[in-house]
Amino acid sequence: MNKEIFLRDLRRFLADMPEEEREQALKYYEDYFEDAGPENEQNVIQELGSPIEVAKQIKGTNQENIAYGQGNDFQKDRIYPNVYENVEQARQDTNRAQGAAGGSYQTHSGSYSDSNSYTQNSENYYNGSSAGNYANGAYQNQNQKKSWTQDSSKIALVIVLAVLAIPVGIPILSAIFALLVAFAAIIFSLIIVFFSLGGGLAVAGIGTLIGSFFTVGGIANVLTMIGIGLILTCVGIFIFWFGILFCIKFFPALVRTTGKLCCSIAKGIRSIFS
Amino acid sequence: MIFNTGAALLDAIVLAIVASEAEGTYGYKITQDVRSVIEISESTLYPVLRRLLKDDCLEVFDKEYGGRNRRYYKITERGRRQLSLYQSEWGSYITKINAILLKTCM
Repeated sequence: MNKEIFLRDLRRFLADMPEEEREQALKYYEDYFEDAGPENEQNVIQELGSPIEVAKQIKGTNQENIAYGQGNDFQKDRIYPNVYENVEQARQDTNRAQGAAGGSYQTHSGSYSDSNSYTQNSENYYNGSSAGNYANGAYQNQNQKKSWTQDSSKIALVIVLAVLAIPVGIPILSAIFALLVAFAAIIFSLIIVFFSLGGGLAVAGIGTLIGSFFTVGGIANVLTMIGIGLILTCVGIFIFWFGILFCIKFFPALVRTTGKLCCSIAKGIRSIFS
Repeated sequence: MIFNTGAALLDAIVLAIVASEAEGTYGYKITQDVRSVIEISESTLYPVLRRLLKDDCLEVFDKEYGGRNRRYYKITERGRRQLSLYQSEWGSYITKINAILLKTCM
């Protein structure tokens, strides 16, 4: 961690501020490093804490800061206007602010390591640098607040993923649907083939048998016709029977396995949310 | 240090420190001066300075130093009024606290 990385990251975390305010804040901290001198660079980084915390202090989002003693929650402590025209007004405002839980400015006692880890562990920086001394009530409120924000951020993440998935997901889902339809069509046509082929062959066989009675040209012809007819009938009946077998045994099993597949997919999706 | 420094007190301290420099002073120095009195994180002061600036209690100007432009803060008239208000309030506050806290037990 050095000054450049710190300032670069701070700039990134202030990206949602108006440009002029951001540039002023960055100039302040650039000057700060310069005035501290290069020999104090690591000390300054240590004292300032992580760029995230500094950014939050600048932006004034200090809900989390309250319980961890990072100071700067004068926005809770003080009620505007800040400049009082008379003492009476000042007294009233100060009395009103007395009840607030915040307002202790204490030395940062955490440590800041490389810039890559905090994008995943930003929460840990709050946890790691708590130097505050706060009443139990304030701390408990902090816990409840934290779990609520965790849930809502999870939900927000899911919503964002769902929205992003639409341009990708619709084609994929359509493809899957088309595949399923094709599969069903194949099965259906197989069944039709079995029955029609079987039936056709059997009918042809019987026809040939009957036709053998009217055949002319000697006993050999008649016997050939009878033979062919019998073969055709048998093959036809066999295929027809196979078709029936297919419907009775195979098809229910297919339906069952697809059902199981759908159930396991649904369970997987549910486990993401739980 | 075991007593919390509230926002108003911190404002008062910053105003006093800036007011004591007739020619103005800069962020790093202000921070060091404040830290010589109370323990605060170095990142605490920028929001305070920015707010005092917005409330017109301080003003900024740039002056060249060592080849770069350094931003200096100076107290304004409004800031002086605010500071004297803080000073009188602090005086009465501390008197009342001392009366209770510093009473030696018999």
